[in-house]
Amino acid sequence: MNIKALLKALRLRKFATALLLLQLSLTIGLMVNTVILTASAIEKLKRPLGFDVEQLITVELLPTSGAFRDTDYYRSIAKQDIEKISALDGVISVAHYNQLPIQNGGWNGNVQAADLPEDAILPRELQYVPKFFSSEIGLENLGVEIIEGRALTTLDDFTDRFYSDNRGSSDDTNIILTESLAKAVFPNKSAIGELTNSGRVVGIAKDFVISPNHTRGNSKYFGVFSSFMYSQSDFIQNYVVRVEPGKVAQVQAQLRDTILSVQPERDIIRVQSMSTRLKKFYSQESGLASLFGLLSILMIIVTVVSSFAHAHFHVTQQRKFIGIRRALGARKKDIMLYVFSENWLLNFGASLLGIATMIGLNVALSQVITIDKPDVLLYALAVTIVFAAGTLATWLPAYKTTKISPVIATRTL
Amino acid sequence: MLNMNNISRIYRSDTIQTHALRDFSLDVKAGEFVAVTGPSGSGKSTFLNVAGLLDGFDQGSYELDGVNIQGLNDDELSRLRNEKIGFIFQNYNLIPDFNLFDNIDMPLRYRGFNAAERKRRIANALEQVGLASRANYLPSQLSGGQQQRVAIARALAGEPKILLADEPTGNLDSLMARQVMELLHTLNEAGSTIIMVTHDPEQARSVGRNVQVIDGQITDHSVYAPEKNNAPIEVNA
Amino acid sequence: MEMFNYYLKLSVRNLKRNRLFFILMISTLAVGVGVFLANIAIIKSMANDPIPHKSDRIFNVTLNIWPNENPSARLRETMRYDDAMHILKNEIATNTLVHYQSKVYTRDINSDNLSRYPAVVRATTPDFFPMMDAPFAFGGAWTEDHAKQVVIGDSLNQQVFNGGDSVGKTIEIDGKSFEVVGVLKPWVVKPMFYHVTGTQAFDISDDIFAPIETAMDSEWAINVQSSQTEQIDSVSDNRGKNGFFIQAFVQLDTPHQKLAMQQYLDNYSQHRKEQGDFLRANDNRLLDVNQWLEHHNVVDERMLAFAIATSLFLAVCIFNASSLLLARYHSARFETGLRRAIGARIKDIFYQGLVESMIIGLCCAALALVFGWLFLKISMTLFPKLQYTSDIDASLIIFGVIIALTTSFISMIYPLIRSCQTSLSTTLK
Repeated sequence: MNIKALLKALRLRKFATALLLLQLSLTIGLMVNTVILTASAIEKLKRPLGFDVEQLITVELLPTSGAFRDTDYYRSIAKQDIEKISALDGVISVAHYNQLPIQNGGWNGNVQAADLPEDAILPRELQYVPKFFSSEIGLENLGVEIIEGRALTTLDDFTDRFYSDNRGSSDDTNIILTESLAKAVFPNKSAIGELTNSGRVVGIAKDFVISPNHTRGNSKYFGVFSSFMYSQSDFIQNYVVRVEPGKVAQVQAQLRDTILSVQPERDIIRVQSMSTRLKKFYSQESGLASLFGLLSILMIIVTVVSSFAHAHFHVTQQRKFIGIRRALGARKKDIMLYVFSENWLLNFGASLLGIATMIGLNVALSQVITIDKPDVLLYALAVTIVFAAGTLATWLPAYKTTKISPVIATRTL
Repeated sequence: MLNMNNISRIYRSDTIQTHALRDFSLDVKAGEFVAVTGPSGSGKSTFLNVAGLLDGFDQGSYELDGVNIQGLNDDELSRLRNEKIGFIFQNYNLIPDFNLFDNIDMPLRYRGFNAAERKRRIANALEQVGLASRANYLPSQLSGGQQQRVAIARALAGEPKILLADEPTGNLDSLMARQVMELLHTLNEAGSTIIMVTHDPEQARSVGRNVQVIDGQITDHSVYAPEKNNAPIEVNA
Repeated sequence: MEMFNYYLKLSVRNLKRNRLFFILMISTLAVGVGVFLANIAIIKSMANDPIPHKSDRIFNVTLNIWPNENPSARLRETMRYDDAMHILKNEIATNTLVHYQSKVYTRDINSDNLSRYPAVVRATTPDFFPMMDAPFAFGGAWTEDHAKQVVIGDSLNQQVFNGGDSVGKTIEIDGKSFEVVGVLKPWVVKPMFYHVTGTQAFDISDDIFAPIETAMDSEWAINVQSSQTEQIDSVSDNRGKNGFFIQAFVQLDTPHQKLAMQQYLDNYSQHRKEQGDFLRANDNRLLDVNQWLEHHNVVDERMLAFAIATSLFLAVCIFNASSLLLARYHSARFETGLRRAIGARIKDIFYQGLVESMIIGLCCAALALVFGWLFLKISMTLFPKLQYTSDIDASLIIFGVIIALTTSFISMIYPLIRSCQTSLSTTLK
């Protein structure tokens, strides 16, 4: 194979060649970055959360009637809801929550040791710690273990005390911290028995992901749990239903009617599995990855069209010369190889240029979104795909050359 | 009509200069029928390209129908080609998927004639070459001789001052070639000025004036009367 | 004109003769333009100026007051009830409004149907309507701060009262009755600049406008990202306490007014400091509508990222079309040479190419609009958040046609120049 002759042939059509080179290299650049986005979206979805996502269903609702402003009424209905749901086939347990894990924002407050000096400045992640109010089984219901101390009990529930106007102080409240939070608040000692501004620590729960987007230290695991039924009818009320494996769909279908059969004056805003909640939480990321994926596929199609056209027109233009070569003894194979090698040479050039476009695009994208750095493996993958697509597209024109009869050489136009 | 004076045309590549024409002078009067002969590579084609304003020249002067070509821009050259010159090519150069009417119509469009005028001229031109009834045929439906007559009709339609024919019978068999030559003679008798490049000595002899080009220069200005029977001088470059 | 028609005829003939070629070329170009257009449609509506004729005269008010010492903390963009009341008292601004968002369930009190409709509440002050240019269909705003009166939006009016003049009718919320004193015409503000916090700049519209005092008296929930530094037992308990949940906007028509307003705010925060509050390093801030929207990153950065990719894709499509056309002109150079030989000027050839690129551009535009629409739908399925954002409107269609014409012209230009430059004497041999 005479590379020099090939290069010369390409130089004769430098504009078309340059265009195709640019096109191929942009395709490589875009593909690599697409794969990066897709991989990180998938990685986020697959990342273990530390609780039983697969077995949980969440319900979000709001009362629509003023009757619920009576907190006693509110609580009696909520208790009936929980009883009725617990009775459903396949349900293991049900608990109420003031907020749900896997969230942005939410109900946060500062958490600090009660004896922290007044002028101490709390790190930012400790100023916005999610505070969970649930029943005593709130953590167990999610599938989160207690690793130190004890779980909450019915005795720890301060709802009645709170609503009977005898509000009491945080000293009387028993709380559970997640492991990372306990370490952050009490770095040098066990948190068990310590008093915080939110109550006394009686147990430490295994870490699980509560706020996936929190990036400071381990703050995505931070959470405080106490046993309390917040009964304010203008706040969204949440139930989490824990079901036997494989029963999610079956139970989910009955929840709305079950709840409304207790009291119909409620707006059931959402009934969804925890895994759906997780998917929706990352829907922007995976949506963007899908858009990029779609664009990559379109780009490969365009590349195939271009490679096809490039080879096709080359062959048409060179019909006579190909005929002459054939007349001079070139085999069909040789001619096909000639056409292919032109495409390969182009792809080689494009893969070099592709390094620049890949990095350039990555830098440009990182100006507006967070995106990982490209790596060699992904680059190799993109080059291979573009290479394969180009070869495939060149196949038809290359095959056509074998139909060119050597007789053409002796004919004038 | 056509007056070339000491024309030089040099082709340059990286290493070589080729004088395709050098000190080439030719004067053609209105109504003449001139045959240009010469061996391959002698500069016949270059002469025709320069004469037909398809190509420029490096030195000398060229006057066509009283217009000095020197210094004209592309638009003016295009205009001259369109109005004053009719081309007849060896391989006819008809557009395969235009019918005869549309093929002949092409130069008239650029001339800016209105539809009625174009129609009249096309009908006239087809009449002159004897293909009046076939205006809607495609070139592929005609024989080679007929195609060349269409090409002649296209050249005639613009009523040019001068017809430039490049081996007009080169692709034709002898019978058809004769028909085409007869047509050219008829046109010449009717007053058309014709310059024809050929390498058929017999054809060359049949026309009023014979010019031989060798090495980019005119070497012979002999005038052959049709009744004379002298063999042309053959020179091998 | 005659030449134009001739070229038109020639172009159509060319397109027909090289059908597969042009289908490939036009559709790749159209995909590129379509994707680009869909992306522009999304960004354009995200970057929309919601109130163009006065966006530079309406300002968000953000105070630097905080009850604790925490000098470096992010500026709170909500304020306390007491702060809001002080801002309301200013006599500088042309219009001043304060508001918080709530959500209630409501029904026609006289209806037999007991089901209630969810309604987004804007608990605000009467200046809201003139400042936002909210159009009244019937009636007008309330006049008493604590009036049990509301203005309702068009869609709620349709839902609850089946439309029409509902002034004087009564709705029920939490068992209490409220008189309708005004009904708005259909009215959307996109993005909803007076409440951009969170992700809801595009997906809600207000159903009920009520006096802020009435809303607090009625304990309508605070549906805003809010903060508090002390125990607050109910919505009405916020009066006099450190609960941050109210947003304020002022209309300042002259630079003089703006200056005076800034002074007013600075005086106020100095006053609060003397009362024991703390001031953060940040200044009291007046941002106009567009600054405010930019500050809140209303244009989704993911869409900007995608814009980079779609522009590249468009470039690739242009490259593709261009190299295809180059090949096409190359194969057509015999005809071009012939035309030149019989007297066509370069201008004529170029003009002919221009007509052809126009036809290609128009075909491409038609196809691009279809692809664009399709891609917009796909984007919306993949990005539920976009659902309320974008639609293709007339100006966008015109923009699409222009883009299509331009891209087809750009792809055409180099091949065309090349074909015009072909040496005449060689092509005809």
